[in-house]
Amino acid sequence: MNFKQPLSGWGLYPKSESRLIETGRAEEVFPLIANEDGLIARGNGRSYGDSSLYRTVFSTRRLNRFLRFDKEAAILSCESGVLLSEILNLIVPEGFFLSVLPGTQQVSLGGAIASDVHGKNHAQAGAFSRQLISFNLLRSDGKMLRCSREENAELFRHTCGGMGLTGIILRAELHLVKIESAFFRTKNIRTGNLAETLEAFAQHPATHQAAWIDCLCPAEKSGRGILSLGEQARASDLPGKNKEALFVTGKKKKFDLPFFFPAFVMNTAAMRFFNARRYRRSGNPEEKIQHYQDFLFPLDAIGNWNRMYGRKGFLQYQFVLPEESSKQGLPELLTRVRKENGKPFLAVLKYFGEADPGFPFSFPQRGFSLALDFRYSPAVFRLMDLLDEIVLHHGGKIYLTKDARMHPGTFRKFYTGKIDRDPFFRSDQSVRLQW
Amino acid sequence: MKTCLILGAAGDTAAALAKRFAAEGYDLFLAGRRPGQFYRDMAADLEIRYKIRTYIFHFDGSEYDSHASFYAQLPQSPDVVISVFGYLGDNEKAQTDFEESRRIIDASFTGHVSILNLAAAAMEKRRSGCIIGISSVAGERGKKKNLVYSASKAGFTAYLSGLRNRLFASGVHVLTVKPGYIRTRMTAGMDLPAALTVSPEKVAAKTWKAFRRKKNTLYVSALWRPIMFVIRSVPEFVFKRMDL
Repeated sequence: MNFKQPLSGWGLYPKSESRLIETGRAEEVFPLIANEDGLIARGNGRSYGDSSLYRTVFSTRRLNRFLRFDKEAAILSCESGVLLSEILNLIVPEGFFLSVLPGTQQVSLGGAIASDVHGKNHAQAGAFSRQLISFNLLRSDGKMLRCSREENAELFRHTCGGMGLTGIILRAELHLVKIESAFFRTKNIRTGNLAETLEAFAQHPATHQAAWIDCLCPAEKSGRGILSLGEQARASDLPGKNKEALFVTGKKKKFDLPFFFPAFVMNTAAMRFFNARRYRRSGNPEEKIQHYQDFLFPLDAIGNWNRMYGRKGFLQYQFVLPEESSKQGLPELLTRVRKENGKPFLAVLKYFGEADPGFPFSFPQRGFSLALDFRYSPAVFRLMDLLDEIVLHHGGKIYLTKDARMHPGTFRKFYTGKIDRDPFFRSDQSVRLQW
Repeated sequence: MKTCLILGAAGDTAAALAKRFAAEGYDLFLAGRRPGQFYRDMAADLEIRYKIRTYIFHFDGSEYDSHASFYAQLPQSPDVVISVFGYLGDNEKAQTDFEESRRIIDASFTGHVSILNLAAAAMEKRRSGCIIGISSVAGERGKKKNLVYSASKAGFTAYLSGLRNRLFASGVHVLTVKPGYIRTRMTAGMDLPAALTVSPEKVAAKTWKAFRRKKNTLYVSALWRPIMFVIRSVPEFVFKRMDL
């Protein structure tokens, strides 16, 4: 394929014209890329900004084989283009799961490693890299390096969160966890404002915790929301289900948005209304059983939901603040958003525990992480620059996987480590950040 | 246990066919010229994903002498045989270099005749089975573009047709698959018309359906059927002037 095609991340901003090259054979990757003058690998393109954009992009989509499924040792080995959804579809019926999963299954294994993704259970399970045993990394000189905590250890730690700048991950090995069912025991706690929401995380401990919050309501109620709690359900929690029913993958017929919504559909008034409605209807504190598809991946139900934001797309601002500064920093930040007339259409709060040491580009650190979705508009860029100052002031940082606009100076202050990169691998993001 | 033999299993179309039949519960015999790590990875993926068994064999379409012993050593006489190996070759080179012509002819015609004769005999004896030959729309009419390739495919199509005729009495089904352009390694870098180019997965899906319905000839995509009808109907005195 020698033609350029339009590409973008999940936020549909920015867009690029890229030459896409791919192969389904691991041994053909190096000969294919050897003649290029730089490129970035791309899995399923679910990062939000320009992390997998460049003038030349290597697609790992066809490197999608399962290589080894060791049920005794609970280890799975597969190529980097395999999606997490495919992994779950394979392992769940056998009674296994992955301890760390991001908010969507539509992420490739390579992408999950390069972003060191996290889920709602970071405090207990850490980031994606914690369940990672090893991976094979192809460098621009053709060398294939096996990286693990014991072998090429520094490269291992820089690649997790390294956004593809250390090489192309071709295959990886993961620890699997045994589960008693594919279901979760879940509960919703409703809170009246931001302070209450933050308190609720500590007051209602659970393995999985995430809060949807409303930032469009009146200022005094800002940050009110629903804290969702979840624990993996044991077989005893589901007496009605036979052995097979316990491990269904719940492959749902996904509804796909067939077109981009016209601009007026996602507007503030409508969102304010839907937020208020969602908040009102969430009063039920009863525990309920939910399948992992619904509990872990609610947004996956609507394929290409990003089209709701229209062709111009949207930007997400996801940051983390250290636990000590969150109580002050979060309200300060939300006040700033309100002051600048920013309208976050979706706001999700998570709590992170201590990060594994030595991963300089991994995003999670102990504290609270907030993700805010903003419809694309020039004003949003200025707003995010102002928010950067606040995040910086409180000792936090931005999640690169969601970033589409950060400045190199700010980036340098958030991520101070020097990456053991391979200069051949570059992305529009790394160029923008002067990484 | 149902078994399917795939001759030329390393190609993209072959890999898609392997996946499709594996998904339907067929154990697979994967045969090709260089059955190394790539075959093992492919086999591992199929076994893990579809919980079937795979076996890997060395097979060279042009080594006719080896075909009989190759077929005899298979764990069992396969229920389905898919002959999908092929070589497009360099048309220019083939015009002056007979070795290149011979490679194309072997891979597109003679090799298939050699191995499928053996498969046909075995299936005829037990009165069951199916042979699927992946030919091409290129074989519809001799033309200057890919001359030797299209002539060989024409021969292959005629052979499959004859085989169908011969095996009808023993209840053995022969399916001729005629793809147009497929997006594969073989056509990588070629400028293919988007409307007529299909993915290997599409070829596999359509082949499976045609196999189930015991169709005789399958065009992938169906658009080729009317196009080929027209091409076949053009009188020779016009066709010889054309630039197809």
